Amino acid sequence: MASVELRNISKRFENGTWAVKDIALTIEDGELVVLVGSSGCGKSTLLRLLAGLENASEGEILIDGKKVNQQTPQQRNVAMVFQNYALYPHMTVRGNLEFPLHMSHTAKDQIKARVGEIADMLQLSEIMDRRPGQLSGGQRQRVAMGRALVRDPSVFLLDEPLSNLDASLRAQIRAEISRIQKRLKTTSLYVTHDQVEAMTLGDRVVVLDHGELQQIGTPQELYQHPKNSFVAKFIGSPGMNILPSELIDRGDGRLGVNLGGQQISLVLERQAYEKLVPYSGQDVYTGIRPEAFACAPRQASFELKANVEAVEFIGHETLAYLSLPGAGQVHTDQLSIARLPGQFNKPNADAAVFYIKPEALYFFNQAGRNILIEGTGDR
Amino acid sequence: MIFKRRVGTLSVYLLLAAFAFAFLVPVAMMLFGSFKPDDQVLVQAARSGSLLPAEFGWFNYRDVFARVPFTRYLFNSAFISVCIVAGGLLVNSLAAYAFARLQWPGRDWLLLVVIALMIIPLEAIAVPLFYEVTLLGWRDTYWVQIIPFIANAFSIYLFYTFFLGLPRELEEAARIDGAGPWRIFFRIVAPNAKPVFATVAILSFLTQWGALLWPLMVTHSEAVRPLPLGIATFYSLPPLQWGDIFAFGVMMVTPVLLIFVLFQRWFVQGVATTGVKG
Repeated sequence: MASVELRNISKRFENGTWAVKDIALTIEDGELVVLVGSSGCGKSTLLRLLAGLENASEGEILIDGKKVNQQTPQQRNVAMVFQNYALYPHMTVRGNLEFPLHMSHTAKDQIKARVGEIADMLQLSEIMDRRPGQLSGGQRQRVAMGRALVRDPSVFLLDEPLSNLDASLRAQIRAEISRIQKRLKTTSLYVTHDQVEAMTLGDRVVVLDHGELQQIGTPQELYQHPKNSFVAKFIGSPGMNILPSELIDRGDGRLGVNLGGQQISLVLERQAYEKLVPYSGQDVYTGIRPEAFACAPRQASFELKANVEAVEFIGHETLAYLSLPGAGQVHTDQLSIARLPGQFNKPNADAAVFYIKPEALYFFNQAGRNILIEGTGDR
Repeated sequence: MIFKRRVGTLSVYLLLAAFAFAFLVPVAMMLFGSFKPDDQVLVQAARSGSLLPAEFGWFNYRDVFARVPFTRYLFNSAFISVCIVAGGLLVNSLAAYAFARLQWPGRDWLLLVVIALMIIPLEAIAVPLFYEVTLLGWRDTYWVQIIPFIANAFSIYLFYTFFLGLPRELEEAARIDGAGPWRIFFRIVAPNAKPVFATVAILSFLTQWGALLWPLMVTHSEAVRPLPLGIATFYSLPPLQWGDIFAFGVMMVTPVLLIFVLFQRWFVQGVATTGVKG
């Protein structure tokens, strides 16, 4: 077990592109941190830097306070589960599990004991003499985890380990990974592009975009207090709706929002008001979570009229695709999404009225930064 | 419609049969001729069109052993070919791995040189090579027939393209598990590259088994000469006896056939990537 610290890590490829830029991150002993971002955001590169498969262009990597930049993966005592498992096809499951122990010159009886222990933990005992080609996806996944865990690594790295599994198996193995990690308390870094996976697994989640760190926090923090519009859109399923709008100062703690031609009047707490007022008269972005929309008025909620372009009924809830009158062209990628409980039918009239509570609104400046938490400096 | 398709299929089969026939006739002639008395080998085949011997016997085979040291030639050929194949598999696969996976200065440039070397035939460099081995005092030895042929540009290229196609994650997983480059090569890469090892083994074995020009240039004693020079002596050793030549030919081809049958399972196995997704 160990803590991990990345100090201003950057990686520049030979062609000059920056894969990751100035990443600072600490993973506490026994913690499971999830790195999330869309494909090409540098999350796998960061994992490979930590594993020792790539060399950092700048910055320091510390494991348990010791700088490991020049060490081999084995010296770092990291273990990794690859996206495609990378099991050795010519070896049996037993051979795959024993291989890392052979490499570290472990005594024979210890190898036997350790492999048996891991096989029991991951329920592999029945398939020890099979080869990877004869295993199902879930079994391969478990063997890959077993091979990583068998030599009791200081740091456990997982690179999109569930992406090759079907949905039901994914949920099952996700739970299993969580259970094993909690039991072994191995410091872990888990890479995924799936924000649901990130939110359900991680003690803390790191959001990356274009090689740069966007925000680090608990799943709740990321959901409730996104630092910028990227995180707001990325976290949540579906992500936050971001609408171009204009702020108008009405004085006395009241603020007007021009949202696609609709005037909304908000009464705000003093702190929020003071942060937003400097932006009055300016174009900003207003963020509304899909789950903030309601069909019936609630206490202190304001009205928002929207055209319902399409609805998707998915059992316990309905997703309604909305366009705001006067907010310009209707493109599917510009539609807002409302997540409504139960069944919601597309109204016959042009516009439907939705009710939203003022505290459910987020405001982002032109640079995409969350105005309400700007300057609080948590990262 | 069905009729048309059947006629199409039939004509394809007829064409294939004609090709198969054309390829098999010389082999069959050699095989049957090796059992015929000398005067019948060519005459009878031409006259009656019959390939089968009128009288069957092993006399040509006995003749071969009586006239030339066949077992010596066979041993020489086997020894030389096996050394070249074994050495070649090791040297060329390692070189190819260095080209495919390791980072070192001048790598891409040298790879170009290797690829360019593929198009230079032995005939073009035989004379300078001859001077070189003469200077080294290697003439009329086994080594002169082995060492120049171990490193082979075409084999390197075959290995190189195969290694490029192997999933990189296997090697990365082994690195994380604590294996160094040698271990990765011998314990992970090589076992997963059996098809290309088999292909290179067969190709280089066939080339060496039939090599004539170079041994002719650099050897003069029967103690180190291979089979192709053995069979060549029959043409200069009067009387010219086709039955003996055929018998020699059959005995020369059989080991190659055996090797091919032995290796072809791997030869056609295709790429082994079962450990990785899918």
